[in-house]
Formats: sequence, C-alpha cells, structure tokens
Amino acid sequence: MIRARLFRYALAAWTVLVYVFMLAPVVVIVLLAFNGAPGGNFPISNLTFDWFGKVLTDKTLLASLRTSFILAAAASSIATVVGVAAAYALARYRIRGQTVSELVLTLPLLIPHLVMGVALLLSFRLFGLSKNFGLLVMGHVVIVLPFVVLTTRHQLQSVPAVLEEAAWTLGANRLQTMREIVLPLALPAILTGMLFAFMASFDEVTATLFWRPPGTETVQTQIMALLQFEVDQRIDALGALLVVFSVVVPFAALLVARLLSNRQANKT
Amino acid sequence: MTNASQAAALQASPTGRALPLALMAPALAIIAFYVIVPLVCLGAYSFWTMLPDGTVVRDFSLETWQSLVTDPFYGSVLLDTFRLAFVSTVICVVVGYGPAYLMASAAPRWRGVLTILLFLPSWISYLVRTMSWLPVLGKNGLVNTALLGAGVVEQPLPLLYNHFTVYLGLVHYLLPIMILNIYLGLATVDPTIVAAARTLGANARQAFLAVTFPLALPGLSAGCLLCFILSLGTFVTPQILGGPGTTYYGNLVYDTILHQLDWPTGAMLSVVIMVLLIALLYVYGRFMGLSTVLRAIKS
Repeated sequence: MIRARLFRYALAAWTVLVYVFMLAPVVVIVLLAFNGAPGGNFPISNLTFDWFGKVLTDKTLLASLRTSFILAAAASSIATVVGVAAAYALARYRIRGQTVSELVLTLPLLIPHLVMGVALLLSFRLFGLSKNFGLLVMGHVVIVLPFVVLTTRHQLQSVPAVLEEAAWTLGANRLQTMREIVLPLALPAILTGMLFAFMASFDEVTATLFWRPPGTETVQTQIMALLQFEVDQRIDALGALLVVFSVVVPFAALLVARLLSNRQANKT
Repeated sequence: MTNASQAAALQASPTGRALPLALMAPALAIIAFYVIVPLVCLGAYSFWTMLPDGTVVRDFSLETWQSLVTDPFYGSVLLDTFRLAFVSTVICVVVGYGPAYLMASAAPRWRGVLTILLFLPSWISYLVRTMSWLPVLGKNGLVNTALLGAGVVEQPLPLLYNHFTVYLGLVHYLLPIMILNIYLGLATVDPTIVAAARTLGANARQAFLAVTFPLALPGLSAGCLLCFILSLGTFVTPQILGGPGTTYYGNLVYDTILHQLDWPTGAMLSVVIMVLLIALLYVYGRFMGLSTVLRAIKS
C-alpha cells in the first residue's frame, strides 16, 4: 500500500517535470519579449512593451503576418468546402473503393512535408509553371485537407439519416436538406475542422520554403530568415504574439463550438 | 437504424450512386493533382541527370542513383537521420509513458487539466517552440547565466548548435504527440479487466504487464510510428538548433534542391526516403493495422 502511494507520488513528480520541460522554453520567450536590457538576454531588467510596438510597426513583419493570414484563410476555406463534401460522402454512403478513397484522403498526413515540398516544386517546373501564390495556396490545401476530413467525418456520421429522409418526404430537395438539416447539425465539427486547418496552414514552414514565390514571406519563413542573423528582442515579441494567438484562438473556438452545440441541444 | 441500413436506404434513391462520387471528386482530384502526380514526377526526375552547366537531361540514366552508392556522404547522413529518429522516439516513449499513464488513471478533473496543458504546446507553432531553446541555451542564455552566477563555470559553455541540441529540440517537439497517443491507447483499456486480473491474484505490476500494457499497445505503437516519420523528415530543428557538422536528411535535401539546384539528386533523395517510409508503413500495417494510426491522428 505504501509502495503504491510512493509510486504514485513519484509518477506525479515526474509528470510535473515533463510538463515543465514541454512548456518552460516557451515561457522564457514570452518573458524575454518584455526585456528592455540591451543584448536582450538574462538577467531580465527594465521591463518594457517597446518590442511589441516595434513588431507591430515593422513593415516587413506586418506584411508577412498578412501573407500568413491570407494564405491560411484561403487554404482552410477551400479545404473545408472540399473536405466536408468528401467527409459527407464517406459518412453517408457505401461506395466501391471506400477504403482506397479514405486512404487517399489521409495520404498527405503520412508524407513528410519535405517530400511534398520537393515533389510539388519539381512538378511545377516539369509542367513549365512558375511559382505563384495560387500554387502555394493549393499546396497548403493538400496539407490541411486530411484534418478537415477526419474531424468532420465522425460528426456527420452521427447526424441521423432519418432526419434527412424526413426532410425529403416533406418535399425538401437534396440541397435544401443539406442546408437546413445536415450543415447546422454538423456546424461545430465543421468549424473545428476549419480551425485545425487554419492553424496547420499558419504554422507550416518546410513545404512553404519550397513553394513560396520569390519575395513572398509568411511569418514562419520570415522567422527562419531572421534567425540566420543575430536579432534583438523583436523576435521574442513576435514569438510571444504567436504563442498568445495560438493559445487564445483554439480556446475561443472551443467555446464557440460548445455554445453552438448547447443551443442545438436546447432546440431539440 | 444502424449505419449500414441508413446507407442502404440512401443508396436506393435514384441519385444515390452518382452523388457520393460527385461529392468526393473535388477532394480526390486535388490530392491526385497535387500529391500523386508530383510523386510520379519525382520518380521520373530521379532517373534524369544534371549537366555541370545546370541543364537537366531528360534521358533515362542511372547516374543519379549511382551517386547514392558511390558517395558515402549520403549513406552517412541517412544513417545519422535514422539514429536520430530511433533514439528520439525511444526517449519519447521512456519519458512520456509515465505522464500518459498518470493522465489515464487520474480523476476526471485532473485529467482535463493535464489534457489541456498537453494540447498547449502542440498548438504553439513548432518554429516558435524550437527557437525558444536559443535564449535558454545560448551563450548569454538562461542556463549559462545561472551557471556563471553560481560560479560553477568561468566561461559560458558552448551548449547550442550541436547534435545534442538537435536531439533535445526534436524530443521537445515530439513529446506531446507521443504522450497523447500513449494516453489514447491506455484510455481504451477497460478498467474492469484490470480489476479482474487483480482479483485473480495479480499484483499491480503483473496486472500492468500482462493486461494493461498489451491492451494499450496500439496507442504506443501509433505514437512511435508518427514520431519516427516526423523525425525522418525533420528540417526545421537541425536548421535552427544544429550547427556545422550536423547535417540530417532534411537539410541535405533542402540544400540540394534550393541551393545547389540539383533537382535530379534532390528527387532521388526524396524517393529514397519515400521508399523507406512505405516499407516502414507496410511492416507496421502487417503487425498493427494502419487504421490505428489514422485513429490517433483523428483525435
């Protein structure tokens, strides 16, 4: 009994250490973003918000933020439309080649971004296409598509088919049924899938380095470029902003998804 | 109604056959055009050669492939990369099993806290997490400042830009993924079976080894596979935390394609890593079933 207790304490202590390991370096970045000391390292002194101001007035950084947002918004929107349609087909119908289709739709998850980057770049060249923003967007669509399919499929499956049949019997056509019955019920899952897709696109670095047209920088490729040189705390401030963004957005989205599904639960 | 009969009912309707195909077509077409065709092109490119003046000769030749055998550099980088992938995966299992086990056996409230704290690092950008080691281990970093301050060392230690930091950065990146997968495996184990083993006289350790561990194995092995694949293709970690002499496969391919502009060789190197991955997935599929991997990704 005492040994079991001790084991439990040891396990808890180990877990705390592991979590500290996972989170502490990020905390360090956030702290350094407020460091006013020249040289930009420890010990931290002269707490300041200046670095955030410098990031938010830096034209190059702002441009890269804008590019990242446009890219992620475009890629996740296309992936959501295309992916939800495919997920609906997978959830509702028994079709020949179902397993193969499923495998194909999740294939991009099993291929390293490095290989996808090289393969798509070389095939642009083979077909005589030059790099452009549209191709970058489509590359990102492929990378994030599996996230949409996998997160929405399960939820679409749980919308009872009887509801759809009832709508048809009452005279609704397929499109109306889709709009009035299926999409509202699956909306939380669709939004979650879209959010995953957005974040995955926003964080992508490796393949983007291969695909971006000359002169186009996303936040991530911009950080890669900045890290080649000695940089001041602007990079910590930028990192801190990204940390806050990637923590706040999913929480907010989870909250919205929960509210939406609660409202539906109240309705039915 | 079961899903099967629902599906059958829908299929009986007149548009039942054409519709699902039409719904899937855009997604399948995008993947075909942007993944499968490029992979075929990759194969084709690897059998072409590049002349010293930079032009690519589009005739079948094994010259590029021969360099894989004759140039020992490629082999040594490949070996280093496999060692990196293997060792980081093992470290993640050893470090991560405990926290995953605690999560699975904790009271619901604590489990919620631990899960959210686990999701936090995996939400934060991989690049930001990787670069966060720079101010920790740098010349004027946290560790060196502490060591100097405590009088343990007189000169700052050169901690960054070596193999160690690459391993550290990679483990730091992979650990949440590993813990989550092990946890998902453990969560599927029916506690009554473990209780039955205990009633039948097994002590805690025996029950774990004979019941819990084998039943939770699919989660662990899915975690290992994902971590292994991710580390084989890693580029960002060695690029930021590595230094001279720490070339891993991703950096080799990146340099070959984007700096030397030697596309046939870059294609050949990418084909090599794909073939090795397919072999790995095949072996894994034979033993564990690929569906376990997809289940892990879904969560």
